[in-house]
Amino acid sequence: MKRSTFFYSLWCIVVIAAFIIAAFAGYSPFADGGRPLFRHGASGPHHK
Amino acid sequence: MTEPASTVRALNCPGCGGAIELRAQGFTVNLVCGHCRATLDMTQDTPSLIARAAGALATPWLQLGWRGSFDGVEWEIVGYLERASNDGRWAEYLLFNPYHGFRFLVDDRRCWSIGQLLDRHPTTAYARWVEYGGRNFEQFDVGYDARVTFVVGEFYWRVAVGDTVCLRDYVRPGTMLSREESGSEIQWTRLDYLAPGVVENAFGVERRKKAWGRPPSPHEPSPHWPLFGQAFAVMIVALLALCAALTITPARSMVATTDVEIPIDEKERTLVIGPLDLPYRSARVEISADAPALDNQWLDLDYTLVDKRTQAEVSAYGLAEYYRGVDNDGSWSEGDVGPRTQLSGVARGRYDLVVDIAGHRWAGGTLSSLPEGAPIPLRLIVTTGGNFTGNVILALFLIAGWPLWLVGAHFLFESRRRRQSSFYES
Repeated sequence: MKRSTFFYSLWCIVVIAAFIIAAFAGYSPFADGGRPLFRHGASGPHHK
Repeated sequence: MTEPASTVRALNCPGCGGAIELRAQGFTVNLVCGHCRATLDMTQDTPSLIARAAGALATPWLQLGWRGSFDGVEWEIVGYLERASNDGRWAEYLLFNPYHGFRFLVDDRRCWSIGQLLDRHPTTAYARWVEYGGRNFEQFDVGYDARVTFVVGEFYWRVAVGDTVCLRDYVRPGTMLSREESGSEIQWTRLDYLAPGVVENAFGVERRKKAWGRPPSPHEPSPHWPLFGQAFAVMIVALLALCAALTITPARSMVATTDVEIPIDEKERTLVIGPLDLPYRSARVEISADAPALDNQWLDLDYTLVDKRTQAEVSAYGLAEYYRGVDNDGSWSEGDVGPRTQLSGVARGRYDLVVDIAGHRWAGGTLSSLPEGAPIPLRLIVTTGGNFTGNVILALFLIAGWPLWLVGAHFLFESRRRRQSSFYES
């Protein structure tokens, strides 16, 4: 096994472990509560 | 134990008087003096001068007389020559072993190859391909002239500076078949790629620095493909482990569901849903709104999750909307009538969900299937547990990133290699 493959294997273990920990903690960096960054509320269609 | 008798014969150059050594006795036809570069005829017992040298001396990186082993066979460097074509220069070392004959060690400053004359010519497979040893080789160029620019040492053929041959290369990654035509004589050489460090290890010299930025040699195999094979196997195992992780994480369960009707363009309405019991120590909470009747309208949904014990608040926002119309491009529509709002890491406890809801009509909308002033039915569903889709996608990206990078690097390498071919089509 090449050294890069060994480190990649370690990386995959870290990613999966982090995923499991986040799942049990109910954590996500993407769960922003639905609050848009630059705008609050709506006033009609966006592209027209 | 006695040392084997030396096979090297000491001579003096008839051109300059310098000491020269004959290493491949009985095989050497041509010897170029290392001191004065005079070409000597070695077919007789006493060397005779064929031509005097002209031009500067070059110093081979590997010295004549050095010995190195490849695949368990020890070879001695007996000759060295340099060739040049319109596309570049390269060096060829002639190696000799009394039991195995001659080999060529070719250095094009990008990679090393070890070559052997073929006793059987390859056969034409189809179009630009030839077959040898059960494998097909693709023609790489239309043919080019290569001129000897420097020569020193012993050779089993007559060779001198200025000798020109026409070469045509056929390749498959790792191996090149080189067709050499000189007058009516045609000979084929098989060149096998040597990995970085192999030659240096064989001759016990310091490893040469990699020539960065240069395109790969025509037969140089991609260094990324073997790595991809291993990385792909690891990736499959990691993806299976990720699938297993998805099954052991907390299951998704419904906490509450409520149906209400929201008037349009009236005062904001406040709704309290609860109590909601969240059983996990720290959990994902999702609030789904569903208002399929929206038509050129929107609902602002302000959520506040209030811990009944500590009065701590977690606020969030949802927007249900749907618009449609007709313009010069035809009919159009946009909006999401079922927004999902996700909350991260909500602590265990009993909560009230306070929802401030305001319904609005789009002033520019001319179409509506609902009668004026009709309320909008809305369903709110609160769930906990389950997995965040974003986390799954992020994990997939982080796991697949390295194999995808290797695939990209491989195809980039192959593109740079093939771009040198006479038959390259962009």
